Amino acid sequence: MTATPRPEIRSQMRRYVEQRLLMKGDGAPLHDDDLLFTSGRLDSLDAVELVMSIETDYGINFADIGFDLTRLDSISAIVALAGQPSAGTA
Amino acid sequence: MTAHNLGLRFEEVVASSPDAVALICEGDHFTFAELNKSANRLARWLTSQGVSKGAVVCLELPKIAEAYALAMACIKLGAPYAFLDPAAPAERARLMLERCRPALIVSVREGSGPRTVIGDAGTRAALHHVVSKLGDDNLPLTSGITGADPAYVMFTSGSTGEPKGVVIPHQGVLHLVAWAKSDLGIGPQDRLTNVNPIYFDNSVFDIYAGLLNGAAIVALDALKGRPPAELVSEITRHQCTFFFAVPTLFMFLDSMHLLGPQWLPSVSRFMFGGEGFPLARLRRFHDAFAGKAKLINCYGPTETSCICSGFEIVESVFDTADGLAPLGQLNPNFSYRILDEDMKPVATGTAGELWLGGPGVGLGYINNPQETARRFCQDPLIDGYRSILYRTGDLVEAEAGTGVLRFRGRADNQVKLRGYRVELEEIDHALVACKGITRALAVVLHDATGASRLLAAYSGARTADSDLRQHCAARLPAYMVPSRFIWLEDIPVNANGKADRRSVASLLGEAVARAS
Repeated sequence: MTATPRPEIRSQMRRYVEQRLLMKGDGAPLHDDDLLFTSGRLDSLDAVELVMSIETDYGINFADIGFDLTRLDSISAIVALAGQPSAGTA
Repeated sequence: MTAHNLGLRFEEVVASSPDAVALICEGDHFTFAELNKSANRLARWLTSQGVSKGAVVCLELPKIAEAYALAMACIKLGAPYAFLDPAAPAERARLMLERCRPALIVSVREGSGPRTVIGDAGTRAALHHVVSKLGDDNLPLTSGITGADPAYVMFTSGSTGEPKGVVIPHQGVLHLVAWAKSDLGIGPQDRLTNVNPIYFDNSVFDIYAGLLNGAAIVALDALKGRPPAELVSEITRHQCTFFFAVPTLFMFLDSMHLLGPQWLPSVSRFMFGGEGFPLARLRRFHDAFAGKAKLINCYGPTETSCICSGFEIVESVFDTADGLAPLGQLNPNFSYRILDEDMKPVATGTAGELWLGGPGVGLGYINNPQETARRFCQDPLIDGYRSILYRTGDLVEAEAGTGVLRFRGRADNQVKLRGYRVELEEIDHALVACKGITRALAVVLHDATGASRLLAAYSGARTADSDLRQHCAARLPAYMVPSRFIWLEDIPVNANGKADRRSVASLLGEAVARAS
């Protein structure tokens, strides 16, 4: 697996999250630091989808980060985690 | 148990504790006497709208007080109600309504059919004004309803491409209520959450195991854009003692650091079911509440009155090698057979299909004799009299001596996604209805932690993901919309020329791995 550059992760994640929000009728502006789960904009069903997508696309193992969703609570947080050198080696 | 139907049972509770809180909803508290009067008035109003015993009433409503009171009103009339998701795609709602052939639809949205819309404060007030003039005493005709009469219709995914409405009799729910009292200890001292969607089978437990045992129920929404911390604090503020939800929700709360006794101090029992709880995640839940609350794994198809077994999670569960908690022993008044493909009993310790019997078995699928005949069958080992069993499609193994059942897989293409039951064929049908698509197959891929993901392969015209997603969202509930669509030149077929779901699953697994 080749490492995905951060700007690309950012735009991929933004597209992905916006799409899920739209499916729920949420078209409100989305900033990179906006909280996704803590705010309730994404729910338990979205969490499963998002985690599996990140696991597949960026090689992050959810168990390795202690099943901690607060580490994936914003686009910025996901980008930071996915861009770490250890990501993708799992 | 003295009452022979749910309406009489409810009235017994009302008579014994009229002033106890029955329902907390939208910030209001309703006592048993208040809920009963409201149900009696609504029953009279339903009658004035042409609803009589045996007629179906569709309730396309969110968790508002009227929804619960209308359900009780229907119960008292012997008119089975069907809760429908008010956010269901129009096409799916149409299919469900068509099957129900309702005498009346009470809905929050406009549409066809005999319908009363209570979509805003004005229309709700208008209904209240009309019913306030009607009598609020119990209805004499309630005593004429038998335990074998239908109580409600609950929709579940169907393999023919449309949802099926399971019809459940009063007696099935009465036994569920009795089990909740005897085995789970539910009584007037309890407060139950009603987090489960009201149009979802698990809600049947919340409502009846609560109200009919004299406990209060608290209407809560887990979704709808609300912060999870708010849900947890509402459960605590209302001092809920019993919290039943799908594993997906408990895992979510755990991942948000909200599943611990410091956040949910009033809860003494957690129950989960509808899908397997991966043991690694269950371990965290168990450890967090060790000595403070009980955890119960429950099992039951919609067709057999919500729940037919429960198993308290104990330390030894984590020593098993099969990755899932046992389903437990069947509840009182259920019988079962574990049969092989030739409908012969399997040897002890061997997996076979579970066939369930007893008064909790449903009355079939509404206005759908073909599907009913396929699933509700004569016991193949009895030919001297009528004995109908429900074929669950679940492959199970019974522990010798204890009768504790363990889940071993499915005999068909039914999967559990986020606690919802999904027939993959329903997704295939929806996709093939998209212009240019010749064949489609939905599959579920599992990751190492037990989480599952829905994908679809299709052949024919190559179509943009966003168009496919939109197409599916117009026909299927959100949890049934695949997260990825993968175009294949040809869908692999098996020796009989049928699309081969297993080959497709392995192809998609490889495709997803390659894409990353």
